[in-house]
Formats: sequence, structure tokens, C-alpha cells
Amino acid sequence: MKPIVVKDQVRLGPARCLQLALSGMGYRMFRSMVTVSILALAVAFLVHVLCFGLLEQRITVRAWHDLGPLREAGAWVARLTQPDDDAAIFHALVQDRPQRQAEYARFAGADAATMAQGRQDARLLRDFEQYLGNLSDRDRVVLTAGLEALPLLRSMRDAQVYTQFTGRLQSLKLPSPLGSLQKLETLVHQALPRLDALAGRIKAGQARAIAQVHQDFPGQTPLALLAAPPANLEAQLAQAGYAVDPGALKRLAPLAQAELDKMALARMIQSREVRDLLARQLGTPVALVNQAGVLQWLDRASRAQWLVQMVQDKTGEHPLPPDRLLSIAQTFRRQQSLQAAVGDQTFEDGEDAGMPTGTLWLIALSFLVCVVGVANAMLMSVTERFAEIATMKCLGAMDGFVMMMFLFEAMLQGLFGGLAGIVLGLVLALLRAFAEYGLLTLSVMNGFGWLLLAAGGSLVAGVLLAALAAVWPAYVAARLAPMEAMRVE
Amino acid sequence: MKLTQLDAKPTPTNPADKPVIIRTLGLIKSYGRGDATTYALRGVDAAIFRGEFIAVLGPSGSGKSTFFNMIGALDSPSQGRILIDEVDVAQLSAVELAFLRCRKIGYIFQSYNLIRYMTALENVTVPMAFAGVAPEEARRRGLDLLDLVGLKERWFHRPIEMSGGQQQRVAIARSMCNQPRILLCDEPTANLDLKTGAEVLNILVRINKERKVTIVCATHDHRLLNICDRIMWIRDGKVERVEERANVKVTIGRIGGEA
Repeated sequence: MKPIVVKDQVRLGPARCLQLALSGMGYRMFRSMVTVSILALAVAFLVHVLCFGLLEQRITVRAWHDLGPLREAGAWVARLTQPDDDAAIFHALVQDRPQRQAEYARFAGADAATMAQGRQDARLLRDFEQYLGNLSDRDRVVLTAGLEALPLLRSMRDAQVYTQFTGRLQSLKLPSPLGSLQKLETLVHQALPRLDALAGRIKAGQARAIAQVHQDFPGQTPLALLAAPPANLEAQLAQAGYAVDPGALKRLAPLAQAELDKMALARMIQSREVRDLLARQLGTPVALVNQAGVLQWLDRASRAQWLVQMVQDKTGEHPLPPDRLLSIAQTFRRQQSLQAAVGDQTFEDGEDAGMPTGTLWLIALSFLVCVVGVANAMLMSVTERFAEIATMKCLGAMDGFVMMMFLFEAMLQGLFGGLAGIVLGLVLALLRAFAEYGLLTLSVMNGFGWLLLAAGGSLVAGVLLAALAAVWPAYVAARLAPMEAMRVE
Repeated sequence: MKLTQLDAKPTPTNPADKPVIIRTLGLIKSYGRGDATTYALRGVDAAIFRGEFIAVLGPSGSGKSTFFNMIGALDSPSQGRILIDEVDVAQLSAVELAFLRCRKIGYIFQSYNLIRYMTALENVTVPMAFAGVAPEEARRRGLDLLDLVGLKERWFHRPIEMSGGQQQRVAIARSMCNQPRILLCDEPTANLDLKTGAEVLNILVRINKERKVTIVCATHDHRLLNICDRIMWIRDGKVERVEERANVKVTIGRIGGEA
């Protein structure tokens, strides 16, 4: 007999390995499906949170922009009614809106140097407000004695109050505002008086302009003016000193008209008898019958006709025609849903809105859940096959082969699970967005690119995680002597 | 009552005419360290001859299985050397060890260790795949081997669809698929009833006689003592005795040195 000669074991190529992994998965279809399902759920969770966060953010920004004209109309009504308050003026001075600045310059009759000085002073004031905003609640209350930034700064012109403030600053061991106390002193004794003087001039100018407009169009409320703008309104406003976007007033007219109509509706439902009948119709107590409730309820022609008829019968007045009522109700409901989507968030114009911190935390957390879920599923499916790995090693499999086989298997499972998870997560995210924001969701669906990007990222994460989580235990098992691996049960 | 002498020294008989295929020198396997060290093997010197059928006896915990795993290169010793045909197993690289396990040694386990999601034929062809045999050739040889163990008709059955005896026969076919020189059997009949156990033993004897494969068989099965060439007793991690079967009289319930 020939003696035993030991040589190197042949190495098998990836193709053979893939073939064995595939046939293995085929035979263990049920177990594989369980693993794939867990992977799918983990990825679906991640995709859902990610895509819903993206959808929500886009919907919010979209709603904010859609509400722009309404805000503008409101701003015009306010500007034509009374001068701005100090805080609004200081805030506007910091913002980078040249038209507004020019308007202020005209109202105040100030030259460029004065305005530049004003902007610089306003920036100092904003920095001080931010400094207060960054303090903890307790520190802020102690330091400011509960005052807002402006009244606090004004009171600090008194030397005694100023000393008290710096004393509190020291005892709280806080860094001095604006970097140095010298700057704070500048703000209190020079910048703020200058700002107040500027604001006073701006307000006086605004008051003159308002009076001018009143004189030009006697007996007209600002809202009525905006709702049916006379041909010379734009020119007259510009002459009074206002900055007017050409064409803007025409755009705002329907919105102002809708506001007027709403006020008309409020008058329609003023009388006791009408309110009683409406309360019965709406099924609410009489005290709760209001304009908003009626507008929500007015969603079909028959209701509008009933309301008009009833108001005519009871009061003998000529109310708004039913189709007008319906259209303002529709506009109102749309504005309500936009307002609900925006909530109390505000966005600066032209600023690219980031995701809210809460959503980011949720995404990070769901990523963690996904990692743990995938790792657990793959650990389980590999650990229960330690004996199989040991047997394969007894039969001459090499470490590399075992790991490659598990790598292929895990990547395939990750791929299938990831694909299923993406579909599931996307569908869930879209359903939830539709449930919460309704048709607003459709308005941000003009391109799927970003959703697919998020889903694709989650898929890659799923596949990589599955591969990593499977290869590590497979590596451990393959490195063990076969008998030790077989002993692990 | 015992016909062999109890006080006979362990005799590592090594007549010049019998070439040694497995030799162990001072084999020690310990677990743990310091005071907690436990010894599974305490210095085993053994020689197994080419082409013989040797039974390894010993009570549970005697180190029998550890010895078995050591000479099969499935576990590494703490100290000592294992020579398989004068090749020191400890010197082999992982790649060479895989080669040795794949082509030179066949393993048969008490619990069969078939891969449970593969058919009988696929179980038999897996080691051939590792040896780089083409799939068609492997299939042909696999069917021949299943024929040898009498299971050719059931090649498409999964382990779960077969009895213990049939599974063990598939395991024997699998162990033989790369023409090994040594067959290591760890309690091959322990989970089987008398009849199927006898079938398995018959196949082993045939393999030993017809293919000249060296068989090392750890066992409690007395019938095996009737068919083996030599018997080795292991007790407390040491070789207690080695005897030619002709020198041992086997009686039920009382065999040689083991009560």
C-alpha cells in the first residue's frame, strides 16, 4: 500500500459556493423564509420611519409655501391698519430682505449709513436674544427676573439695574453676553437708544402712510381695498412709501374677498334663531356654533342651499349665494389642512428646511432597531447551524468556503428581506401620510427620486448588516476545531 | 473467571511485520488551567496497524471520545504528537488538515451527523464536492456507494425520512466517498437496535476486508468484539491494555478487563 501523502486541499470557486448556498436555501425554504421575514420587518421599520419623515418634511414645507399668499394678505391688512411694533421692526432689520429695508428707509427718511448702523445694532440685539435663548430655563428666569430681552435691556439703562444684572451674571457663573461686558454696555447705552429712535421714525412714517391711504380711499377698510383693488391702488401705495410687488395685489384679491365673505357669513349666523336651527343641524350646543364649524360642515350644495334659504326666511336679509358659500368653505378647509400640516413651525423664505430633531432621533433609533433585528436574525440562523459547520469541516470544507457560503446566503436573504421590507415600509409610510395629510401628500409626489434613494439606502444597509451579522458567527464557528464547534449546541 | 490476566502490562505490541498507520506519543489533553485543570487524556501511547479493525473500549468519561477526536485531527492535543503514516498532524496547515479530513480519514458518528436538508445522495456527494470532483462523476460514484450500503433505491430521501440504521448507512457511504485509508467510528451502533446494528457492522467488516481500510471503532457493542482484530481498553485517560482478539474470551456481561 502507498503511504499517505498530505497535500493542499483544492479551493472551490465562488460559483460552486453560490450553487451550494442556493440549493441549501432551497431545501431550508421555511427556515429561510422566517429569517427573510424578520429582515423584512426590520428594514420595513427603517424605511417607514425614514420615508415618512421625508414625506412629512416635504409636506410641511409645501404647506408653508402654499399658505404664503394668505400670510401676505394678512401682512398687508396689518400694514394698512397700524404701524409695526418695535420687535417686528428689529426682527425685519436683521433679515436679508432689501425691499423691506428700502421701505423702512423711506418711512424713516434715513440715509444708507443710518440704516446700516441700524442693521448692525439689530444684529447685536438678536445675538443677545439668542444668548438668553440658549440659557437653561432656571438660569434665564433668575438672570432676567422674568423679563423679555427688550424690556430687560431698556431697564438696564438705569445704572443700579445694570449692576444688579452683572451681579446675577457673576453669581450664576455665566459667560458674559455678546462675548464681553463692554459690548453689552454698548448695546444698552448706544445701540438700543439708536434702534429705538430709528423705530420711532419708521413708525411715524408708517402712520403717515396709513393716513395718506385713508385719505386717498376714504371710507374703505384695508380688507375691502385689497378685495377689490381700485386701478390706482398700486400707484397710490407706492407713492405713500410702501414697497409693492407688481401684480401682487391682484393675486391677493381673491384671498381678501374670501376673508370678506367669511365676515359676511359670520354676520349671517349672528341672529339667535339662525344659531338655534344651525345647532340642531350640526348637532352641537348653540354656544359652539361658529364660523369655522359652519364652514367645516358646508361640504355639499344642499346644505348651502338650506342655509341660505333658512337665513332668508328668518332674517329677511339677502345672504351670500350658495355657490359662494361653498367655494369659501372649500378654501377654508384647504387652508385648515395646510395650517394643520405646518403646525406652529415657521420657515424663513428661501431657507432649506431641515428635519425636526425629533424625526432625526426617531430615524437614528429605528436604524438601531434595524441593526439589532437583522443581527439577531442572522446570529440565530447561523448559531443553530454550528453542528452543520462542524460536520462540513469534518468532510473537508475549508474555513474560507464555509464563510463564503454563509456570506452568499446572508446577502441573498438580506436582498429578499430588504426588497420586501422596502415595499412594505413605503406602502405603510404613504398610507400614514395619506391618513394624516390627505391629498396634500399627492402634491409632494412629483418625483419619486428621493423616496427611492431613501429606500435604496435602507436596502444596502439591510444587505450589508445581514452579511456582517452572519459572517462573524460563521467565522467563529469555522475557526473552531470541528469537535469544539460540534459541542456548541 | 476472567480468562485474561488482569495484571498484564499494557503491551504496545508492534511486531516488525505490521506497519503502523496511526501512532500517538505521550498524548495529553487538558481543559482549564491552574488548579482547575482537568485531564481527558493523560499521556496516551498507542499504535494502530495498517488494515486492522481495532475496537476501543472504555467506560463513559474515560477519554475514549477525546482520543478518537485527536487521531481524527478533529481536535488538537495539549501535548504530545499524533503521527498518521509518519506525518505529524500538529505540523499540518489548515489547508492540509482539510485535505487529510476530506480524503484520508472517514468519520462515522453516533448521531450520524447527516446534513438534514440534503437528500441521501447529496449527503454522499458533499465531500466529493469539497475534493473538487465534477458533479456528474460525484453523482455516479455516490450512487455506487449507496448501492454498497443497500440504499440505492432511496437516494432521494432526506435523513428525516429514513430510519436510524439507514441514516448510519448513508453516513458510511459518505465516509467512504473519497476512498479514505482510515475509518473512525464513534459508537456507530449505539443508537441502533440489534438488527440494524448488525447490518451496519457487516458493512464495516466488508469495508475492512474488501477495501483494506483501517477501522478504529469506539464502542460498547459486544458483537463488535467478535469481529475486530484487536481491542484497546482506555481508562482514566490512559491506555489500560491492548489485546489480540484471539487472546480475549468474550462472554456476555463480562468482557476482558471490563465488568
